[in-house]
Amino acid sequence: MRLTLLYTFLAAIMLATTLVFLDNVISKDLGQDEFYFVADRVHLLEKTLMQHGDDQAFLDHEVNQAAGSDDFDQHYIFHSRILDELGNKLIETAGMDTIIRAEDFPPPTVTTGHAMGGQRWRSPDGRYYVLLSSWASSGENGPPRLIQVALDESDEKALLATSQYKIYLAIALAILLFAWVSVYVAQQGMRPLYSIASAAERITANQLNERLESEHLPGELIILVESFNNMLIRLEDSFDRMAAFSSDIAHELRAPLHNLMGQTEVALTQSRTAAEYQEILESNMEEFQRLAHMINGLLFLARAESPHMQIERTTFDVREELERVRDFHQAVAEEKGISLQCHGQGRVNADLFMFRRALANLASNALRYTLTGGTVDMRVSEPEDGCVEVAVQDTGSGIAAEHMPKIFDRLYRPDRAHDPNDTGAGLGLAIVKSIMHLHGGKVGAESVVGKGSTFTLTFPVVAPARHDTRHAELSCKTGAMAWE
Amino acid sequence: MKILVIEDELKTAQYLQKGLGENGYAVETCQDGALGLALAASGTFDLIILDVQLPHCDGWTILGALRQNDRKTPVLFLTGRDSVQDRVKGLELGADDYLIKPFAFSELLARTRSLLRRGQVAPLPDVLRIADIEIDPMHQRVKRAGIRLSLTQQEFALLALLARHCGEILSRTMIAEQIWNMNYDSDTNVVDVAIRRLRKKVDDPFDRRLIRSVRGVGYVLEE
Repeated sequence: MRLTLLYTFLAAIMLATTLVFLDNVISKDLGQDEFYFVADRVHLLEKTLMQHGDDQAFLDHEVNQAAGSDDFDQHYIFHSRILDELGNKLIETAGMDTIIRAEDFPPPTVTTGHAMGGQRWRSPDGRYYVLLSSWASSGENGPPRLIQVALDESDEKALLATSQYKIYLAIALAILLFAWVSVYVAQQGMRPLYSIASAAERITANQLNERLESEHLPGELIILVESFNNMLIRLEDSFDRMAAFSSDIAHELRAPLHNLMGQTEVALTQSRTAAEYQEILESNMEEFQRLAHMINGLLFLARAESPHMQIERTTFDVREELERVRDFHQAVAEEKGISLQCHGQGRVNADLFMFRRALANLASNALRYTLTGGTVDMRVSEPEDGCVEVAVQDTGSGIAAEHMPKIFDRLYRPDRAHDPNDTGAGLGLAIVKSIMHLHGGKVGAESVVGKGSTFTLTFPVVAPARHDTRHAELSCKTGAMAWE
Repeated sequence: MKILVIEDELKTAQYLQKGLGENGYAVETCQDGALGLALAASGTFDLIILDVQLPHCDGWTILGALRQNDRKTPVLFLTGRDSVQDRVKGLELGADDYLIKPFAFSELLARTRSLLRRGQVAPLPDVLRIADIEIDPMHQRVKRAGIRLSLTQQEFALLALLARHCGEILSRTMIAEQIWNMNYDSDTNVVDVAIRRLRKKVDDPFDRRLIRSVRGVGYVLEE
C-alpha cells in the first residue's frame, strides 16, 4: 500500500512538471506571436506614413479597413491610432477612444523605426491588450507622428486559461487513474503473496502435511514457496520424530513400572518370608535401575540440546582412549570370542568423558551385534586438514537399509520385537549423535546386512585459540549445521 | 561419627537416615534450610550431607555461611541439576564432594566413608589378607589357600579394589570408574562379565565363595 502511494506520488510529480512546462512554453509562444503582430502593424503604419504622408485615405485603409478584412488573420482584433507631435489625434480605428485612450499607451521606447515588443495592459472593463507605440515621420523628413497599436488578446487569454484549466484537470485525472491502476497492479502482484500468507496461517502442528502451490506463480515467489515447503518438510519430519519419541518413551517407561506395580501388588496380598521379600525388592531394584538409566540418558540428551550446554575440551591422545575402551570391553569380547583391536594414532581436542562415552557406546553396540569369531576394530585417523576420524567397524549382523535413517533417533531399536532380552535403553546412538553435535562434528554409519557396520565419528578442526575452552556454543551451532 | 542430612524430600531423608544409621553412623535429618544452617553452624557434626534445593534458604547459602566460620567440617552436596556449572559452583563454595540425583545409596556410602576417613588414612599394608586370600599389590601376586592364582592385570586390579573395600558393597558405577576410569552409563554388562571371569579363578576352584553379588546393587568381597 505504501509502495502504491509512493509510486502515485512520483508519477503525479512527473506529470505535473511535464504539463506545467508544456503550458509555459505554449503560453510564452502565444504571447510572442502577439508581440510580433503589434510590431508588424506598427512597421506597416510607419511605412504608410513614410510613403504617403498624412494622406487620410491610405491611413484610413490601414487603420479601419485592415481590421477585420480578409487580408488579416480574423482572429486578431486590433486598434491603431496616429497622433501628431503635439498629441492631436490624426486618425484612429473607429471607437478606439472608448476603449484605450492615447495616454494609456506607454511612451515609445525607441525613436527610430524599430519598435519591438510591447506592453501588456488590462482595460478597466477587464479585457487584455498588448500595446506598442512608436515615433514615425510623415513622408521623407516630414513632421514626427506617434503610432499607437493595441491588440486585443482577451480571447487568447481566455483560450489559454481554458487550456490551463484543462491541463490541471488532466493532471488530476491522470493522477487518479494512475493511483487506481497502481493499486490494481499492486494487488494483482501481491495476490500470490496473500495466498501464501493465508495458506501459512492455516498451517498448524496438525496440518504439517499441507504444502503451498508453486504453480502459476512468478519466478521470484517460487523460490519463497519452495523454501517454505522445504521448511514444512523438515518441521513435519521433526514433529513425526517427536511424536514417535513420545510414544516410545511412554512405552519404555511403562514396561518397568508395570513390572514394579505388578510384583509389588502380588507380594502385598499375603505375608511372606523375609527371603521372598528380599527377592521382590531385588527384582524391583533392577527395574528401578532400568528406569534411572533411561532417565539419565534422556536427561543427557535434553541437556545436550540446550544452547547453554558447555563442554570441557582438552587435547588428548586418541589411541590411549581407544585402548582404555578396549580394556573396558575386553572381558566381554573374550567371552563372546570376538577379536577387539585398536589401530592408528591421533590427537583430538574434545570433552574427554563425552569422547569415552561415545566410543564406549559404539564399542558395546558393535560387540552386541557381532557373533563369535567376528572382529571389532577401532581405528583413529586424520584424513584431511586437521579433522580427526574415529571409526568402529564390526563384522556383525548389519543394519537393514530401511532402519538406517532412524538409528540415531532416541529409543529407536529396529530389533525391539526380536530381542526381548535386550536391556539397553535404545539411547546409545542418540547420545553418540548428540555428543558429536556438541563438538561440532558428525557421526556417520555404513552397513551391509550380514557383513557388518562401520560407525565413524568426525571431529572438526578446532581453532587453537579455542583450545581448552569450556564454551562450546559456537561449535554447537556449527554442529547443528553439519547435521542438516 | 555424627552426620547431618539437610534434605527437604521426606522419603530421601528417611532412607538416608536409615541406611547410614545401619552402617554405624549417628544421623540427624532436617528438612528446612534455615534450621539446617543453624544446626550445621553448631559444629557438632563430622559430616554434612546437603541438598541444594531447599525451602527458605538454599544449599549454596548454607554452604557459603558455613564456610565463613568453619573451614573443616566436610560437606557432601546432592544436586538434581546435573550441570557442570552447579558442580563447579558447589566445589568453589568449599564443598568436599558431590553426588548427582538419582544416586545409588552404595555410592553415597562409599563417598561418606572416604570423606570421614580423609586425613586419617592408614597406609595400605604390604599384603592384604581377606579370609584365605593373600594379595600382594607390590608384585601383583595373589594366593588363595596357599595356591598361586594367575590373574590378568585387570582381574588383579578388580580383586584389589574389592579387597580394599572389604565388606563394602561396590556399585558397578564405582567399579567402572575405579578400574577403567569410565563413567558407566552405557548399555553394557561389562562389569558383570569382568566379575564373572574373576570369580572363575578366585571362587570357583574353592569351596567358599568370597565375592558375593548383591542383586541390583553391586558386588562385595566378604571375609
